[in-house]
Amino acid sequence: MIKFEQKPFEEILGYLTNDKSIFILRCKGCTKVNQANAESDIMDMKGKIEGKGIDITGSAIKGFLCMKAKSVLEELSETIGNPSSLLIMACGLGVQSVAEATDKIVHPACNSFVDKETLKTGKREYRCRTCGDCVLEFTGGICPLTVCSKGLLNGPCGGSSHGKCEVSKEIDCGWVLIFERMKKLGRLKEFMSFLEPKDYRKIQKKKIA
Amino acid sequence: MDFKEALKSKNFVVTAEIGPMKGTDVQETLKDAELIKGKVDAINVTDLQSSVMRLGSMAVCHLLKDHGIDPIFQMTCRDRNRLALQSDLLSAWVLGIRNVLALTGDHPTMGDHPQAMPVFDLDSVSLLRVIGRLNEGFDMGGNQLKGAPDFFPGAVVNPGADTEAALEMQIIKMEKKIEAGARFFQTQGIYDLKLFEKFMKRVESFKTPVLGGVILLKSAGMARFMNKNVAGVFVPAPLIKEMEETKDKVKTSIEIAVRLIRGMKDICQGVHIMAIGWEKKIPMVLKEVGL
Repeated sequence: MIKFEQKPFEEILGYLTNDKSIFILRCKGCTKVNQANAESDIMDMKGKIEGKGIDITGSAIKGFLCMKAKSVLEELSETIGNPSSLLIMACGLGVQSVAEATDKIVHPACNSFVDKETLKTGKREYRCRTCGDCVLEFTGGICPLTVCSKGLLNGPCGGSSHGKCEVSKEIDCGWVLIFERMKKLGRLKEFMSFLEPKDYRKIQKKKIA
Repeated sequence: MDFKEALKSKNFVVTAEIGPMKGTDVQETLKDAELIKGKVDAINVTDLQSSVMRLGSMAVCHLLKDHGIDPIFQMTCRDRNRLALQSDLLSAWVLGIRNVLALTGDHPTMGDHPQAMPVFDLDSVSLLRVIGRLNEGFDMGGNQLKGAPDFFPGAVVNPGADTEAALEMQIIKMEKKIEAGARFFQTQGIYDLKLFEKFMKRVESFKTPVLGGVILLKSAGMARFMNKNVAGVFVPAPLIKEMEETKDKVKTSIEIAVRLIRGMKDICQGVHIMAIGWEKKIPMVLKEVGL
């Protein structure tokens, strides 16, 4: 899941320079993130835009814009009216899905982040980079590409300290996790294996299954 | 005698390290190098140390070569993909550089351009293999080179890893690096000779020369800073106290370095001195040790 946070209002206002009217659409969020404050986010945004010479044709809160943008826009076709653009309060997936489903200009109102929980449990690319050449056999089922800040394939760098990453003391050293797991499994021999550099063609030309 | 030969024929070799400046003024760097020339077997030139943008290692290595010093070209995987790494290796060879130290490199967020994209297309182990491949006359893609280098590749190891798991991994990675072609090792700064001796016993069977790292302590504050912020470096309390109580910091710093190097003479195959701005003091240290 991708967490979104509203961009600084001045930045959003800059996007709206050529707009006479907008419709605001906020994602209701996914199962675990982005659900709180949907109503107040909209009220807040409306309040800030008022008096800036931009007409707000309406607003809506709808869940899972990433997957349901097309049906949401169909459902809202009358409510939306005919604004010059849509202001989308959603993650990057939501904004792209809406942009794909409409010919109108779509403005993103938020920045997207991977939240901590998702890093641990998420099933999307945060945990698996779909590299096309899985090495989990040699790394105790823990992916070094995503769990190590440098995506190293052959063991930790010299920056690992007290089991933490040099980038932040909040981040575990991925290679310590891999080592401990492999040791527990009695598989240090496999841990010794040399892993070849990635073939980035396989990452760039992702197969859609 | 170049560095490779020195490792073969001497009982104890000495290398030092210089970090290029931020900018194009190389006068001081060359002056420092000139001062230690003839007293060391080679000088490492760091590659954007701590991810801080500076003059490049390759250019400074080339200048050292021109001044009759055998340079060790430090090469990190942080900033270049496999195309650039291989190309820079060929360029380095053409410029007279013979020794390469393969490193992962600090993460860009540690330095003065934290916004930079981290590359890490290769890691230190795969870089060593690539160096070996180039030496054989082929690039990573299996294409034949017209004119091949003959680099003497080395790597780093951190004997002061702070947990048993970390140390075990360091040793495993060291083995991987040797398999990948590393012919010598230089270590992170060492202050505890007993720990280092234990480490050396564990890696004795690898039969690959290890140059123990010595960082000149400039002050008690620096020691505390390293203990807190530099992975694998631990300055024991008595040494910090010594630096704290001294009236002559330079003298005490040199005394500590001399003790460490004397101790290392029976433990490993050489010393790698990291003076971090105190390059001018290296001759004094070596004179005291009798090297």
